[in-house]
Amino acid sequence: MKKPKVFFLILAMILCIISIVVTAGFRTPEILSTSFGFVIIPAQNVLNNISNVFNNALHHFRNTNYLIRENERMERELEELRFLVTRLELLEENNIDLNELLEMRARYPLYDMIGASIISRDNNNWNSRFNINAGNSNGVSQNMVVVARGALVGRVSFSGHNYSIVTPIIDDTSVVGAVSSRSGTVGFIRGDLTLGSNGLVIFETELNADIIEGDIIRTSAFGSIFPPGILIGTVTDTINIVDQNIIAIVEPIVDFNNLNNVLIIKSVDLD
Amino acid sequence: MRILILTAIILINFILQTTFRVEIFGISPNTAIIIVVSFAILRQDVEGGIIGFFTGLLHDVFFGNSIGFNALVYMLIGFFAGKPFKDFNKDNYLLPLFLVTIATIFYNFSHYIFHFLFRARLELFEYGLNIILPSSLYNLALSFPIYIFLYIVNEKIEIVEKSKRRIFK
Repeated sequence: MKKPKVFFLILAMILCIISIVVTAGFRTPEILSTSFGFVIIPAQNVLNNISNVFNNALHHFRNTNYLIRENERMERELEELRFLVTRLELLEENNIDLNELLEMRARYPLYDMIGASIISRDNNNWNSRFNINAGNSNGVSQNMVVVARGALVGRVSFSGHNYSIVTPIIDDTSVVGAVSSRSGTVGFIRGDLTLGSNGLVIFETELNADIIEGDIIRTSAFGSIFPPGILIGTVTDTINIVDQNIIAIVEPIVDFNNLNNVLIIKSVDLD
Repeated sequence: MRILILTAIILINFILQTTFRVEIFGISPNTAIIIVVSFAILRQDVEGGIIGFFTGLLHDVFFGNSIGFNALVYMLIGFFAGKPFKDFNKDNYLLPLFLVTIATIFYNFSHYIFHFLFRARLELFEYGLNIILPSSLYNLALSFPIYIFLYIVNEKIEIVEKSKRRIFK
């Protein structure tokens, strides 16, 4: 009686381990996530809407529907405009700085964006991934860049049929190539578990690099996922030196604790 | 009947847990572990393992980097929480409290080892103080009401199952 139980346990463990190894790193939309998605996502959508309604009802008493709708629309528009403005600012800077390269920089990418709301967050305290209610059917696919308030949120780490998993920059596994706007210091924006719970990230760069409080950090041209020039945040805290690297604390422009809507950049036309 | 109710409980728990994230000092309790451990105690090892497997699989599909890790951990929790205490009276409410705490520590510790230690994050003390300790305390506090609720649910199901058995035999 006892042996088959243990046998099945070991069999199931081996199956799990095989699955972990096979699906590690690159998950493709498979039948499992699609079918689960059809059950869970609508319920989460409904619940999310209900909770939003309750939250809003507490704050507004009259003209609620109209104001909320109008506000949502304008917020989304504002986000899009903010994003464009930062892009334009960069474009201007680049135009002044890189006059001789103007021909190359002249055609700047036009972004096609999708709006989505956050419907659920991982609750196991070890990562800060969240799910959004847009997936393959909306045109979202893996490694698309997610922005909000004109600044970087993260990237899509997996896209199911009607939902996607977003890995934000505050997640411990996230690494983004970054550059300081003032000095041009190149480094990496790295998520950290303990800092991430306060919505902060780490900017890591080499020793003797020129970096001070108040520096604005943007994505750099390194890496293939993130297009250069997207705002990340400002250096806020003292700089620590840890084994040959300078580590600065960066406060992202995006407030990760109160993030509800995001934009996904559909197509990035890198030069 | 049993499968339907169990599925409903696990799904509702997952949806509530991920949609309304209740955070106290940035840490949220993991009620899925409590449910797995409770059912393992009430229904012994095999059913505990199966429930754990599917609970973990659900989590993997929606948040995992790879599919299988949470399924494996939850399955082990369910299997071993139901295993060595067969002779223990399941009316004893101290047993679930104890097992839930152990299971939460085990879950968080395995997460640390496979997702953080393997990437050379060595601050175990910091993580233990900031994450493992508070989350196991929250789970400890929550395990009592949830266990009582599931105990009543389980008893109702068993009554229905017994009456059905009488009809057919």
